[in-house]
Amino acid sequence: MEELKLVPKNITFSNLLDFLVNSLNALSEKVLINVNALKDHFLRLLTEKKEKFKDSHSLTLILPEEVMLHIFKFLSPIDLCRVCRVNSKWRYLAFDISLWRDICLQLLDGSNYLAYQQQQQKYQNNSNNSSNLNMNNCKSANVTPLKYSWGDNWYVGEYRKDSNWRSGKYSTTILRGHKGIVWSLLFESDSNTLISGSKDSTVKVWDCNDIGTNQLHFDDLKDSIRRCQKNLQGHNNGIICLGSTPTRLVSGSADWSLKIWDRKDGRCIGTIQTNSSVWSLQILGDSLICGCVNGTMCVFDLNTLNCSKILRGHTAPVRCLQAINHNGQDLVISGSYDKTIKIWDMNESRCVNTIHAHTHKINCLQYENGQLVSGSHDGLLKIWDMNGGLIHTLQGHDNMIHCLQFKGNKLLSGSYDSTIRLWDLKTGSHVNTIKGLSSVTCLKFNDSKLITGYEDSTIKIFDFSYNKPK
Amino acid sequence: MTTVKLESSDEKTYEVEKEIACMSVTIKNMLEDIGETDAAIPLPNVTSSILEKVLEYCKHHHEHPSPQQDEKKDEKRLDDIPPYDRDFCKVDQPTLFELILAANYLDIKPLLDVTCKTVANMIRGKTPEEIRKIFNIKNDFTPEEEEQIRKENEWCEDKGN
Repeated sequence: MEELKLVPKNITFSNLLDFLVNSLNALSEKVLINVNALKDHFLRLLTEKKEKFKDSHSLTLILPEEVMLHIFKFLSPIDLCRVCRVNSKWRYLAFDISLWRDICLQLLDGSNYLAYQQQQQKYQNNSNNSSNLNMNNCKSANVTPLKYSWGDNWYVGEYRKDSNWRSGKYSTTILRGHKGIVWSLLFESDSNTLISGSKDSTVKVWDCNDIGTNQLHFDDLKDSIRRCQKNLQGHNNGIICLGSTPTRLVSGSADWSLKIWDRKDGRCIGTIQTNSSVWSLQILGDSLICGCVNGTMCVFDLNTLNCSKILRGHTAPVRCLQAINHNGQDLVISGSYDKTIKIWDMNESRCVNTIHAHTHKINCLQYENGQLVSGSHDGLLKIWDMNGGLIHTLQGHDNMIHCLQFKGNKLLSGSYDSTIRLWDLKTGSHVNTIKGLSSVTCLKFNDSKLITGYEDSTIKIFDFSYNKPK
Repeated sequence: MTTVKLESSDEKTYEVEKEIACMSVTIKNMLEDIGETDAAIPLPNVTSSILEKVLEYCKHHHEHPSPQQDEKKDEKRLDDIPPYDRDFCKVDQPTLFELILAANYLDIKPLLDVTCKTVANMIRGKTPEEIRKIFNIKNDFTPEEEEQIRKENEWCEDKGN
């Protein structure tokens, strides 16, 4: 501004005008330069700030949580596990119940659907917004990183168990005590009680609490002795099949008899003589139905021990049977060494259907939700509808199949070839094989445990909720 | 052909076919609320450059409607992004994130899905360290915590799937 000269004295109007124009021009040029400099300065500041922003802040921070969750919805469980290691904010989001609930419902077999619903209810009760874990404590990103552990998220536990089943990650515990082939097992998940029947003529009751949680492989005779709570003796020959009620145990034996035991004191409270060896049995309310070597099936009253019915039809030993309710009808399905499956109407006491299921003897079968699965000496598993229509044939075992169980989409089979195979029932595909050293004679499983009996007289417990890596 | 006017945060106005604009549930609801109008609908959360991209996306999908898909099925699949959408998402990270924000604000589910899938694809198969690098995320775990978390997650690593 100092350049603005004073107006000369005695100036003419036209000179004044020139002077003013010149002065204004100079001024505006100056202002223009200043404005440009200012603009440059601000632009530089802006870019610097932008760079700085980019350096210290992730763009992911500008996304609202629900959008981050939407992104995470497209990720696999494995990716989610990695995401939770990125930082505390991502960890908090990756633990979200809704993500894992969806994974469970999509990937798992749905056999636990009721449990899913109950769990969902629980989460909803815990917080008004069901989508987030522990809503009260973790609204912001400033969460203590290890506030969450996978143990807090029930769905993660479910997914994890399933992936352990599929990939064969488990701990094993061996129970020793029997002196002959273990022919039959019952497992009661609620009390962690295992009941086993063996060729050595004894029935043993085992306490399986806390089994398989500490060590990858556990084989300790002292531990087995401690766990064996009861040793029921009385039969003169091998125990082939078992049944239980809350107060009683029932054993079927090759000594042509059934024995009923008091669960509390282990006393034999009744013996039923049969017309041949008993190879299969099931308890249904107050009645007991058993399959015998001579091909007959007998129904007994558990209170009076009287025989109320005899079903004849099979021409060889009835190796397996199950009482079921299919479409409101009380039925019994039986599998026999005569290579057929028979379906019986229990009210009319007659055979309503015969399926010529296998080319060899049938060892095991199970019905659930309209599907029937049979396993045979021919090494095949076959999946049927209740009209006898074949849905899948599962091939893989090298020798006869002794035992099978399925729940949801998970089907397990044990064979003389010393392997246990896990199958996907829906697709009929083989998922995993557990190899052993001895013929697998019987098996039972629940969500986290698989219990198998072997020809070499051992019992093995596989625990799939085991946490530690192999 | 009915058109509506949309105004970006930097006060640029766009005249758009109503049907295209209504692919945004937010705009659709606004139009239903205010009824027939000549005034521009203000979108204070969307800049002109992003709005132009969003409109380009909507226009393309309006002209090339994709066959109705089974919604639930294969929802998790990441490799099913159609070629146009894949190319559309080939932008720098700031633009991609602004598109996500716009899609979320304007409630355009197909655009939100495809942009989120693109980000998910950037995460997929990466280690935590790689993820931090890609998105410029600061690791705020202490070494002790990190070790604890690594141990906790051993069960899901080294598995191939």
